[in-house]
Amino acid sequence: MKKSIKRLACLAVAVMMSFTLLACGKTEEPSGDGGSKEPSKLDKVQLNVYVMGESPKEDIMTKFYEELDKLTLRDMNATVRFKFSTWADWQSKYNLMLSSGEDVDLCYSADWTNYPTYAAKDAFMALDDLLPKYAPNINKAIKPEIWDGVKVKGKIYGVPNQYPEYVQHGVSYREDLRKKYNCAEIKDVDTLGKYIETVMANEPTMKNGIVEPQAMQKFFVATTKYQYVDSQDPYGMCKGLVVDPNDLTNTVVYYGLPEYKEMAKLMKTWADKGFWSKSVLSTKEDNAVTFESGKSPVRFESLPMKTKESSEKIKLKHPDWEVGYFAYNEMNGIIYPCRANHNVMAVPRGAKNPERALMFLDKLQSDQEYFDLCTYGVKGLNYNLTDDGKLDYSKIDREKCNFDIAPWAWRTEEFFRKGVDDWNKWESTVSELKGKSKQDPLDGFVFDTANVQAEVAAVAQVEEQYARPLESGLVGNVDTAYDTLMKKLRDAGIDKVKAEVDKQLKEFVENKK
Amino acid sequence: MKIKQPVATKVFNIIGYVLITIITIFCLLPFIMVVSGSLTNEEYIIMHGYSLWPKDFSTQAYKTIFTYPKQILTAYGVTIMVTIIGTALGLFLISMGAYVLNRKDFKYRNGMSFYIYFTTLFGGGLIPWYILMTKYLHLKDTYLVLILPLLMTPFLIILMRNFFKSIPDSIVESAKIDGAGDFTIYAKLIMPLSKSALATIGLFLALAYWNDWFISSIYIDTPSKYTLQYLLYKILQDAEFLKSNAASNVTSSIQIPTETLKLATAVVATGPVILFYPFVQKYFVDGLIVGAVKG
Repeated sequence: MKKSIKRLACLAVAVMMSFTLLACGKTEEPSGDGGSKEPSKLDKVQLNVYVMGESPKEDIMTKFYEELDKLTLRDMNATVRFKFSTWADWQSKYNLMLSSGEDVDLCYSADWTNYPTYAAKDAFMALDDLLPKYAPNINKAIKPEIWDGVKVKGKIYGVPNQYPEYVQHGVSYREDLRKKYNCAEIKDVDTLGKYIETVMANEPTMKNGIVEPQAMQKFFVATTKYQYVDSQDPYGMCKGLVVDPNDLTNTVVYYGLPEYKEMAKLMKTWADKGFWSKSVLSTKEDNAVTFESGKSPVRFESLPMKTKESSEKIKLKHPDWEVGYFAYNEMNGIIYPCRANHNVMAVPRGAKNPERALMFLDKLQSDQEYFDLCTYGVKGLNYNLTDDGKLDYSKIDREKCNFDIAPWAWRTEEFFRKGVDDWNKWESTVSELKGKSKQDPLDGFVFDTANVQAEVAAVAQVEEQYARPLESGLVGNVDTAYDTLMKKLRDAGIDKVKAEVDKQLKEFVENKK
Repeated sequence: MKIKQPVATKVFNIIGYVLITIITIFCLLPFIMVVSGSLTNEEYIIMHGYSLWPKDFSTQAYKTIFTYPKQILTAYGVTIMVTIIGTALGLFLISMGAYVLNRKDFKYRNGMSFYIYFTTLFGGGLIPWYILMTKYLHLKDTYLVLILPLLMTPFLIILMRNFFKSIPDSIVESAKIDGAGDFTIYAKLIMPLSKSALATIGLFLALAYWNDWFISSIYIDTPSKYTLQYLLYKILQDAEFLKSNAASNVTSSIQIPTETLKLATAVVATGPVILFYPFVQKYFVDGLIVGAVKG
């Protein structure tokens, strides 16, 4: 008898201890107006904003929060704190944040963070009703076509920024070397090739300097009359498919275009001339670093923003170098600002204070004070202004006082400040692109791969194995390699993917009318 | 009097030594390159690549690290503290658990063993684990979350139990006859006898704690609580991401760590461990076979 009583006692203690643990977990009830529509102005809440990237240093953030609290407590009786995803394993962390219902009121989202997929799965709150009430300024300022671009299944799940960004892929090159060796202005692939060849011949340190594989992939489609179906270009889901903007429901497999084979042959001559080394497909070198240090004469994978950054870094070490930029799409004239869902702020489903969050977002995009603080930092510490309102970093130690909390989602054109040290061609490039740009007819199109998942994966695998070497010119015989590629693509089921994309495009176009 | 070795043994020895020397050199080379690379000028590496001996000597990378040493020193502190506490606590708990599972008069030991072993076969997955840790146990961004998950690894419990099997039951019985309680038997008799097992399990635990970065990655938000390995991993991943395709439309003003900085961070983070290892190597090698089935 004694033994079983002892055992029962032990069991009872164990059960009681586990209950206390559970009870500890339950005592914290979420306080605050979770469901009410009218935010009581007396209710102090803390908003959590989830952004991508790294947090600036802790002491900088402390000062930032001091200043931010002054503004937010005055205007909406709330304190705002930022959480950072960091880039390590960011996809799993982002997924965990949304699926575990973490306490986040506002989070960044984008097409490249699978905004459409998450929105379709109801990870975000629909904002259609909340926007006019709590974010009236944004609601008025953003045009209906842009709102359409962020709609998923007919509802708005994210607030886009107001900064038409021109993410035209292009090439950064050394303007000073081009002038030095009298190369023609870079207008197309031939002049680009000639520039590289001449510069390499005269600067022996640059031989084999290019570290970017499949250069052709970056500019091939821009030499044709087609545009990519997927907003993420070749990295998206609509593998290998492009479309004529005037004939939206008929996609074309670009590998099948005769121009593709011709350009692959050109790539082979480039590779043979020594533009890049034979091991370019496996190199881990950074194309920005090689370009900025003078090892490479070009950077094939570049955007106006990236060129601007490179130029600013180069200025510190080699002030006599000049950087030039050529947007590939100047070759076929298809220039669009980036799609609406490229940078949005969304409200996760479990957010406790969506109304207050939208009020904060509204302020960010309509009040210069908020914008400056959250985009550039604390004045005097992280940045300074010249008399005409330009950013001046000359007295700031950028290493120690760097402030960057990934403000892409609330960039607003009218508040965006120019810098004293800006790349001298920045304004002209942007206004040129703006002048030539049109509205993207495929804005808002999202390809649902549910029916063709296996084929998409198979095509991706074939591309990796057969198209990459071909596009880097590292094959023995272009014709046989090309035939193999086409056959493998057919086997992987690219026709099925094309049919599915055509079908969805047709629906998309019908709904738009 | 020297015993003459047959020719076959001599040849075998020579082949053995040569082979092992070659393999050793292959193992050493990358490490030498890392150290030499960290002491080379940045520009030189970009233009000419790595070399075995620093051609253009410069300690710039180390200077950069030690201008803001706070981050690395804090990470070191966190990792050392977590390792020591975790290993001590873990050893205590694991040995107690294994001892109990080994006692033949514990009626439920087979059931409990199976229950523990079962968790190595099936798990809830990442999201349920995350929800449990953050929503129900409120462990997000605490020091406790760095210690708890690795504390009672089923593999180590079973390893320990197998070792205890080799301690004869008669010792336990004789202690019982003398009137010793369970805990006294455990502390005064079993523990002193299992020094090698404790050393092995301790080393396994310490290594697991030292090397872990995943827990930091998903649960820790405050930079002052990062562990060392996670800090290293993060530095590399940040640079990798910005080079990758997903970032083709992302711009960021963080300074991408240069090649030499990455190498120098690697040396600073792993250096002390490499210096420490030769001293404990003896126990490690001996202990590897400690849980094996004996006659």
